Amino acid sequence: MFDRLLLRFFSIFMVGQALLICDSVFGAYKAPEPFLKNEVVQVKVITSAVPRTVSDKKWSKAQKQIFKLHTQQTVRLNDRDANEYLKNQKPLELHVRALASAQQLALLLEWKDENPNLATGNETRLFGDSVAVQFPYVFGEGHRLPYVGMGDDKYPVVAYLGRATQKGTLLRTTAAVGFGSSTRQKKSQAKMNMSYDKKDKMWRAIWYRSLKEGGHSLKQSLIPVAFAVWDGDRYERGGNKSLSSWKFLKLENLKASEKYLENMAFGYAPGDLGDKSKGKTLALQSCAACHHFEGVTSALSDFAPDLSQIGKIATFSYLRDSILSPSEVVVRNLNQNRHYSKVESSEVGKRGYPNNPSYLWYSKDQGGKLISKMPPFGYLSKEDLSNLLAFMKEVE
Amino acid sequence: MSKRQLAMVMDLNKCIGCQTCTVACKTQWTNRNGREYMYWNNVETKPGPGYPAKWENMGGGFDTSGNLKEGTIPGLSGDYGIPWDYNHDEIMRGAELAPRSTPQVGPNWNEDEGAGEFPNSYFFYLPRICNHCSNPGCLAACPREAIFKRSQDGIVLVDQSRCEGLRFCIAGCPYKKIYFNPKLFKSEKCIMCFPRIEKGLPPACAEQCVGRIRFVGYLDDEEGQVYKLVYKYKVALPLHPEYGTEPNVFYVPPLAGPKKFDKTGKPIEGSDRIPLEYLRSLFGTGVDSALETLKSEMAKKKSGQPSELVDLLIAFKHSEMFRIKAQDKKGTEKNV
Repeated sequence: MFDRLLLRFFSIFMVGQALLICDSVFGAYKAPEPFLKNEVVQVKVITSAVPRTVSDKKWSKAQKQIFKLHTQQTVRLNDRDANEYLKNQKPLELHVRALASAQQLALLLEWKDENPNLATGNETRLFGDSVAVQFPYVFGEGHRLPYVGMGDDKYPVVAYLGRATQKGTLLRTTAAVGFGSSTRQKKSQAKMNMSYDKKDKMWRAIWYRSLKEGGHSLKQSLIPVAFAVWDGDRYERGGNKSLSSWKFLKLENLKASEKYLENMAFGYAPGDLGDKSKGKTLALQSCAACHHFEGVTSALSDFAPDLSQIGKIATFSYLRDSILSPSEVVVRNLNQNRHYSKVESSEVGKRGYPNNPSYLWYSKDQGGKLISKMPPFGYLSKEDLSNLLAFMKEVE
Repeated sequence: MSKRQLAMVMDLNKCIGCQTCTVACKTQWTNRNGREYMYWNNVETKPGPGYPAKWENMGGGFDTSGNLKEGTIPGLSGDYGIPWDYNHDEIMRGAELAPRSTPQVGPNWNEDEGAGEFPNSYFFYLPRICNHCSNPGCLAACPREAIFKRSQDGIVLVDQSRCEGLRFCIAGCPYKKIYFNPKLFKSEKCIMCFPRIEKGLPPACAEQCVGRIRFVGYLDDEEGQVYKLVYKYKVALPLHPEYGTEPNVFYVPPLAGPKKFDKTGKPIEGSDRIPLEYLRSLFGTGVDSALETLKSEMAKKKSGQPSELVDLLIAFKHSEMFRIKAQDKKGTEKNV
C-alpha cells in the first residue's frame, strides 16, 4: 500500500517522468548485476522525517553499501609531504547509507581513521579531516556525467564539503566546473555533522538536505553521487584526497529511465570489456606518448592528465567518451602558471615569462569551444576499445 | 604578467640590522588576528637559518625548464616559533623578567651568529620581504588561482574571497614569504603596502629605514635609481635567482668585507672575510662583476672623480629614494 505522502511525492513526478516510466515498463533492459551490486545504494524512502543524528535508529532500515575511495592522482599538486602519501596507498573504504523522505535526502557516511585531526586555530601544518558529497547539477536521460574531479565546463557539480574543526563541523556548499573553480553557495540549507568514535576509530558524518534546493533537484530515481575523504594525517586538502568514481543513489519506488540506466551501467555487461593485456599493448602505443600510467613515465609530467588508477575514479562511460571524443569531456588544467616558457627572453622593465602553452590540455576554437589537445580515437575498432577499457579500469 | 613592475633595491652594505623595518611592518599589518607569528618583513643574519628556520631547504619555485617544484610548509612550533610574551604584570610585584612560555625558536633566533672562526668570523644582515616575483611560485601553486599580480604595479596579492586556506602557495613559494593565518584560515603576505603606494608613498619598511638602504621605483623608469642599479650598473641582484621566480626585490651584495687575519693578527693581503662562493650561492654569479663595479666606482669617488653609482648609493636625500606617484582609480600614476 502506498503511503499518502509517498503518493504525493510520486505524483509530482508522474508528469515529468511519464515517458521515462513508460519506457521502463515496456522496455526489456535489465541493468547488469555487478553494476547494481557494486555501484548503487538503494535509498529507502521513509514516511517520517529523515534522521538528523548518527545514532538515529532509522538508519538500521537503510542498506549499507561499501565504496572504495582512491587517491587523486590525475593532477599532482605541489606539497611534497602530501605527495609522499600517494605511493602505495590502500583504498579507503567508505560505508554509505541513505534514507529519503518525501522532502529530504539523508546520507550516513562512515570510514576508519586511526587518528582524528581537527582544524585548529594555532598551527600552520595541521589539516582537519574532511568529507565531501558531490552531485551533478543536471543529470538524467540525455546527460553524461560531469568529470568526477569537481566537474567540467559543460557539466557543473554541486559539492558539500564538511571539515572537522575544533568548533564542530564546518560545511561548505560549492558549485564547480573543474579544478579550482569551486565557488561557495551561501544560500544552501544543507547540514552536515561529523563525529569521531574513539572506540571503533570511525568517523561518522551525517548529511541531509531538501531533495530540491534552489535550481538543483535530486528528485530522480537514479542520482549520481561521488564521495571524497581527506585525511589530515596525510596532509590532505584540496586536490590531495581520496575519491570514489561516480556512484548512484537509487530512490525506491521511482523507475529509472532505461536509456539512462543503460548508459550509466555501460561496461558492466558481459562482453563490454575485452582483453586487458591487449589493451595494455594498445595503451603503450597510443597513450604513453602523453599520459603517465602504471610506471610508464616517458611523457612530460603534467603534459596530460595522469592515468594512474584512472579506472578507480572514472566510470567506463567516461573512459569511453574520453577516448572516442575527448573534446566533449575537456577537463580544465590545474593552474596554468605552473609551467612557464623560457623560450621568450624576459624584457627589461617588464620581466616575467609567459606560460608554456605545450602544457595546456586544450585550445579554444573561434566560437570559444574547448578543443582537447588529445586527438579523437573514434577510428578504434569496437574490439580495440573494449580491450583498452578493460586495461584502463585496472591500470595502476 | 603585469604592465609595470614596482621593485625594491636594498643596499646590504648599509643595513645595520636595527629591525626598524620589521617593527614598522609589524605595527602596520601583523600584530593581530592570527598574524602574530608572521613577519612580512624580517631581517635575518646570514649565514644562518633565517626565518622560518632553514627556509632555503623547503623547496618550491621552478626548475630550470620553468616547471613548478614541490615544496613543504613550515610548522608554527618548529620552524616559525610560537610567539611568546613576558610576565610584565608580575614584574610590577617583584618577579624577575621571564617569558611566559619556553621559547623554542623564533624570528631572529640566530642573530649575529654568522659563520667562521674568530678572528675571521663574519656575517651580514639580509632584510627580506615578499619579492613580488614576475613568475611567483605562490601564484602558480594555488589550485584556486586566488593569487594575482596587479597589472599597474605587479604587486602580488591574495584574493581573500577565493582563498580557502589550502596552503599550496606556501609550499610553492621558495622564499617562504607567504603565511597561513590559522585564525582566519587564509593565506596572507606582504602587500608592498599597496594602500600607501596608491597614495604615492613608499612601503612602511622603506620609509622608516634608518640606514636608508631601500630604493623603491618602477623597473621601466630609466631615470630611476632602481633601474640604474639593476640594469645600468648591474650591482643589484635578485636573491636566489636559481629559484626561477624572477624576484623583484634586488640586493646590492655586501662587499666582501675586511681582510682575514693570520695567526699573528696581521691582515692577509687579498683575502676576503666573506667567501665569494657564499655570496654567489645567494645572489648568483652576477656577484663577481657587481662587487668589481662597486669597488672600482668607490675607488673613483675616493680619488675625487665623480661617480653616479656611489652618489646613488649614498642617497643624500631620503625622499629621493622613492619614485612613486599617487595612482588614480584605474591604477595609472597621476602626473603631479
